[in-house]
Amino acid sequence: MNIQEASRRRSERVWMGVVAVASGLVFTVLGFLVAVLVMGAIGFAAQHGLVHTLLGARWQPLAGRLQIGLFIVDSALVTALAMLLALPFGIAVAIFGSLVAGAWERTVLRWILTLASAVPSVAYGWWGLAVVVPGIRGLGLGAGYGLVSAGLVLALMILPTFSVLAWEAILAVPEDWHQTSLALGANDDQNIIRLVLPASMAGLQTAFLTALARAVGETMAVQMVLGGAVSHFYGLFGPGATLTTQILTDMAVLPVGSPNHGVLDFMALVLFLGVTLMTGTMGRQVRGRGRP
Amino acid sequence: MMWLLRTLVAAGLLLAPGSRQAITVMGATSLTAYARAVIEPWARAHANVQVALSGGGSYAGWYAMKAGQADIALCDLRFDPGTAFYERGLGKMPVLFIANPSDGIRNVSRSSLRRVFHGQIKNWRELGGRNQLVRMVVRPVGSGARAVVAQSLGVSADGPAQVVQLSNGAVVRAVQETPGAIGYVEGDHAWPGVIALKVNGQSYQAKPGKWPFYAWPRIYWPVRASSAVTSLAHALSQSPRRSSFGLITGVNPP
Repeated sequence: MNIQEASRRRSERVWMGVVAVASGLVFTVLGFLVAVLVMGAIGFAAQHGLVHTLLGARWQPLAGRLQIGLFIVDSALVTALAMLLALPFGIAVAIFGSLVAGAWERTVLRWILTLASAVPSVAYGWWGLAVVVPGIRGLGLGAGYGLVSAGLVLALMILPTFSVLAWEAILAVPEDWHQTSLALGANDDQNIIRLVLPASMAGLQTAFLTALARAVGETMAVQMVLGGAVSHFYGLFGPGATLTTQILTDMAVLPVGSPNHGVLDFMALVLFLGVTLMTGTMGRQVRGRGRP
Repeated sequence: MMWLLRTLVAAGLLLAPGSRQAITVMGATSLTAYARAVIEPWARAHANVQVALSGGGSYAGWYAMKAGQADIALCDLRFDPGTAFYERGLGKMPVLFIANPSDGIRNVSRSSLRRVFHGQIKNWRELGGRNQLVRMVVRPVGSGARAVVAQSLGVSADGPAQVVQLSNGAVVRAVQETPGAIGYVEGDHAWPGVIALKVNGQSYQAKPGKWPFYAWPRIYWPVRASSAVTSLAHALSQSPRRSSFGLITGVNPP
């Protein structure tokens, strides 16, 4: 073994060590985060009862009434609305960008989507306050602050992320397959519906999961337009509160060290487990399908 | 690899806290503008002390101070200081009711206000205003203004549909833009685009002495605090700048 070879191997060992330490650090931090949440949540659940907390809908943090059922329902509704609104448009944008658009249209569209996915969420919230809330109010559908407004803002927020990932998934379908399909007499619509979408389904599902995770976890933009009502369900156009927005709002009255701070750990853990469960289950299906 | 090590060591030295004493002031967001105005000149006169200021609310400030994570708590709610903490009032701050001009309401009785916030009055027509649905814009639990309104009007947390906004500014904006809206804010600023309501014919601006809705902001700090913390606490509790931030001085808390 010459000197150069020995030096190369030493360098490789150092970098492998750096990578191992970095990976270990990530897992340690993640483990610590989960441990803190679990400890706080277990202490809280032992005191207040798991089912009672999850299914009840009374929220008066200073009076010790800490039931989060309403927030879970609102979180699910806002996320579902956002996904329902964003998905069709996202797929349409991805199909147009990857299969229909010309070179310059593709460049411009890609640039816009990349730019839009980098916009901070508070800017989307501000847009919601300036456009969505007055718009819904103008239609006579309440004060404008509510689940639908939050769903609309969230849909716009996740649209670029979903579109870019779906675009990549569609591009991954081999060109030969398109040519073969067209040669067999399929028109463009048949090609897209019968070949492209099924063949890129694994990638589309990954895009869906990424968008879903972003939607469930979003806080600031939703908080700005949701209205924050915690006592009842006021309908889709009425104000509400999600798990994330209520954690943000009540951090001020349930800070670390205060009685009942554990409910915030519990809410964060519910959110964490919910997203992990959803993405894990669907992710297994995606892996099962494999590449086109 | 040596360059990486050198860079890390240099960064560590640059970011090291040094010998300056650090003071953390934390609490009610409504008081942070005032606190900042006092802290800036105080910090210039105490070059060896570094002061960090953050909001988060009265509860956050109080519990952080109790846990030793903050040195001074700014609160617009009262906490029991016991024997471990000092408490000083900063004066009193009016809580004003504001309404959207489209409501057609300029004056309300206290009992009407109570019925509005209980959700018993659903349309401003019932109080002689326009045919407009009542929409309430409120502050979250833990806000001093909300505590004043809840205590004065006997409003429970399980009220009718309310839009919750996290700051005075957000409440004003929501009331400005929402026909039928009513809300409340701390301070006597001349908010544009909203009507400051008279209560029982009393206007805060005309006769502040007769106004019935006040928050009583306070600061707290540990009895065993350093001299720098005590000095800053005194500066905060005695500054003549309080009146510039809507605080009325020379009064004793109830």
